[in-house]
Amino acid sequence: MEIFYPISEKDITRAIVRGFLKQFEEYADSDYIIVGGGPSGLMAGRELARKGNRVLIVERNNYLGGGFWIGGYLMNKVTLRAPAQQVLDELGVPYEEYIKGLYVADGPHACSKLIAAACDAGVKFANMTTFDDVVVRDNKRVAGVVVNWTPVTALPREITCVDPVALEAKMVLDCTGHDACVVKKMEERGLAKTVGYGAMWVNRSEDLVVEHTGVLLPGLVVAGMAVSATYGLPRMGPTFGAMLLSGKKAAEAAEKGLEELAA
Amino acid sequence: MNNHNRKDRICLYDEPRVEVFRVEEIAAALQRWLPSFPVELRDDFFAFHLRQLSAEAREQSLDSLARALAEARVRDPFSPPPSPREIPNPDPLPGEIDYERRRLTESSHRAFGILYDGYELLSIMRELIPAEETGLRTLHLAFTNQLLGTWDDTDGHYHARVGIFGHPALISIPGLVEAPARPRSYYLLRQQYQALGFPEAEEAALATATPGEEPRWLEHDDPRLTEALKGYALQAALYVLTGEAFCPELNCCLYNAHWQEELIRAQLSPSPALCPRHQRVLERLATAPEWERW
Repeated sequence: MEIFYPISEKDITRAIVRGFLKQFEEYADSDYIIVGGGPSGLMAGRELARKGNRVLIVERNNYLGGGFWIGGYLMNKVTLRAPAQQVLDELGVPYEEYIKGLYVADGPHACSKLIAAACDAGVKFANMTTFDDVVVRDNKRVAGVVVNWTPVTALPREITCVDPVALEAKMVLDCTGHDACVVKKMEERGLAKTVGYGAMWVNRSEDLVVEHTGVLLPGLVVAGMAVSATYGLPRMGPTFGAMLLSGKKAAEAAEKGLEELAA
Repeated sequence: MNNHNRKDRICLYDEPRVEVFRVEEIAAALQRWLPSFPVELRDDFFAFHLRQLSAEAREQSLDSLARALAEARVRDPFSPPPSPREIPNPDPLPGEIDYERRRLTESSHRAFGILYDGYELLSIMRELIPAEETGLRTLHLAFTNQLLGTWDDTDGHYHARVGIFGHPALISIPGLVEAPARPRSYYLLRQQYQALGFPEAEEAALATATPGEEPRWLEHDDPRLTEALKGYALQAALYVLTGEAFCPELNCCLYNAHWQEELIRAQLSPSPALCPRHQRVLERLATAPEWERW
């Protein structure tokens, strides 16, 4: 006896294609495009989508969550300092207080809940999609991103020539971590500059990352570890509180930045 | 106002962003050491002086001040301040200027970790001091929760400093933790942890310190910070009064500690004390006629 309903292979293919194309067409023009599906990008996406905005996260890997799955040394416990545990409360992630002000959660639980929260809020994803370039309007305003399939970028140029496509958005958020890909691309064009990593006088720069999160250029917000690379703040270890709070702040900054652009 | 008619005094500025810092205890210590010099307690240096300006002047000052502070940020401690202006960050990012502006207007911004060129910072602060307080008879001593450094041509990099003395004088509270080096064994242990792939090696190394003993270095939220800063406040005052800030005696709180262990011995064993020579200097300052003090 067969358990599953009989469906032909061609119907499965059509379902995938139509579902993908419908979404891709709709999100070729989004309210917000977030480049990078790590903790800061997911958090920013969730906050923006909860308010009814159309949010697309572009992620170069197949998987979402970035480094949030594991802590240091491939050990899958993530640490957060107060007050970032409040985000875990919001997401319904269990955690333990290790010492006063320091909390430990299971990486897989925390990361999957964050991804689910972003999905539940209505965020859509273009995974296996690599950021290639920026769409710039009026000579300076970031108005979208140019993307390509990640496997294309992995092939030598001699044997493949697949042009990318452009996606438009009212605001773009650079949540690409240490690479700060979007900011770097603007730097290549002479429209922005990064500082690179800064003085290693202090190991913890979580507060500084959150405080420097915000609009860098018209149409472009920088969040998460991309903030460190942009402003030359000290590199950090695997403390994720700043990523989550930076994502939240980036969402607020993006909405405010959009209001200012509209004005 | 004629400066010569003003009484000698020390204006001591608080740093409200550091919870464990108690400026009133510094004031009491200075008053005990230098009874002839009344100590006037003020809040944060920038907040205090900006408040003295009219609303319009304050708004104008905020923009230029935020930019000047952003220009004083040291991005790379191994790069000299570029010519021709010889300031470390002559072309700051808008976000850096915004950050400084927020710090100037909201005392709730407690983040620290940015390194500033100490001399550059002093010259920015000097501009804010009103004319009637610019004479040497008013010592301005401020505390900050940011890090200070000075460029050294001889070895080609910035060195973190606890204090930059002059008029005004500025003491970095986190500098007390970051500038004097920790014991050699700490760095060796940290190197071992890092080689094993522990990114948070500092915490790991700390955890292996001898149980039951107080750490041999100060931490950022260390309750001993205020006590340890008293001697540095006196160093700043004596630099203005006598031209000499430091003492070569390890047991004197005027000792210029390069290692945390020296710092703890000079300032916290169990409390800051003076060597006999500097005790006599303070006695002379307490009894000297006013015109001989400066």
